[in-house]
Amino acid sequence: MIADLEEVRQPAPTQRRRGGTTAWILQVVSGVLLVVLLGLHIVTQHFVVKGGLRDYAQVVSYLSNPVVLAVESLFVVVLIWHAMLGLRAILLDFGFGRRGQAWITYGVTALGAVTAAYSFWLIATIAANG
Amino acid sequence: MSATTRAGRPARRPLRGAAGWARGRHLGSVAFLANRVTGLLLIAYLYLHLGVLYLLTEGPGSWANVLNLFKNHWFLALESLLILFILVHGLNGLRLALVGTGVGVRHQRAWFTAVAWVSVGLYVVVVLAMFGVI
Amino acid sequence: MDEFDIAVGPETTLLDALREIRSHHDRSLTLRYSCCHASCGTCGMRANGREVLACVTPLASLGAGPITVEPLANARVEHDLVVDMRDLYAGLEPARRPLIRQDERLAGRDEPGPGFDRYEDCLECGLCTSACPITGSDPLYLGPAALAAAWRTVQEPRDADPPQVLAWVDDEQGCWRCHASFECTEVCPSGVDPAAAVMALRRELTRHKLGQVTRRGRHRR
Repeated sequence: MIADLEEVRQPAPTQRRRGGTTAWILQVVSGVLLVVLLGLHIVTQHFVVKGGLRDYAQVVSYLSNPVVLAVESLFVVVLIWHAMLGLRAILLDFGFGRRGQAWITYGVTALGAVTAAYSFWLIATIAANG
Repeated sequence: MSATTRAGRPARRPLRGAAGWARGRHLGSVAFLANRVTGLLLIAYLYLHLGVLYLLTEGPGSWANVLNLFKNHWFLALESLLILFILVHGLNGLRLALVGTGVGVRHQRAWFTAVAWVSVGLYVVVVLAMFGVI
Repeated sequence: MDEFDIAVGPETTLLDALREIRSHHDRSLTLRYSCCHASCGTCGMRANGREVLACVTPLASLGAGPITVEPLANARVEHDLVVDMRDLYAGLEPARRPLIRQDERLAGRDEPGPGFDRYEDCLECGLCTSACPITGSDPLYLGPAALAAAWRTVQEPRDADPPQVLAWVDDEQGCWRCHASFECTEVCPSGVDPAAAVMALRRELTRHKLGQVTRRGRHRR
């Protein structure tokens, strides 16, 4: 038994650790920003117009305001960032190992980029119709 | 004699995967699972929402058709659940932002209890507003 | 699963019951125990799904009706109620946690009475690792026991090197894998509060990272 314990004793780890503090700080900051931005988005979309739903003309008119455009764009970026970090955290919990961890990060980054690109295309297309 | 790998390390421990995430019985585990489930549901909703918004690029007609669906009471009821998920995820997220950075760890249970009550309270207010009662 | 019906008294502990089964019902039942007073951490197991030390768990506390006894989770089962603890022990090594008598402790909570002689809180019983939801799904996660040991080293390094230990836990499989379920703290029989230790490590690392960012900003200006 003592021999077994000697076999599993490890020296202090020397391999490069990959950190995680930055991802946590980004998740916290994006989350706090979302409390404000998502709250704003829900109120402006559903509690300002009569009936709580914007028709086509009202959507186009809403997006023609440059301040609104800027805030909604920020909202999109922060939301997608937070969502992808969250999805990554859940996927990492499945324990796919170091290489799997790298692929998961690439994967959610790609998914986030595609989602953001589509979202901005949507905003641009709708705003252009105004 | 126990099984070992070639290097003499113990054989890998058995994994239970995601099934183990729902084993916990205490408030902290309820909060963890609630955050995870609401997070995944909200991601699913995000893509649904982005998909539906595509109809705005097809002109007023397509959008008007989908608005009629949105005004349906059953649809409103489902949308109100979305508000509940947002409240739980958002408020618990604020709790985690503090606790997960080592602030107020001793109060984590009390904070989750507050999150649950505030979420339900606000949800009731929002539902009443959605259905025009207030 | 084997079933046993045994007579118990009002103060019978789970360990008493298991020893009774082994003595008079099934001599092949394999279990581990030693001190019988929650100091050695050897008799960790699950009773009705809950992580406990069998020696100090009265059967009466487990509710009426049949009691299901299982080995600790997230560890390879050697036989019956005995699990392979070497993963846990190996995981604790890099933390370089010093072995300090409780009355010699320099930092931390209120000290016990003068006649009480006990070593550091962690019994290395494995209950926290068994209860942790993430240890069960990620084989590389350091786990609550190792992380709590790391925090203890940072608090009171003696001959260890706290920056090295902090660098070790600053990893996606280190303290950042914890999702604050607090199950580890709920089941710890020894007051270690591993979850608080993990959060304290995260606080230290966050403080250090934000300090780095502000220092870099000052240098650029």
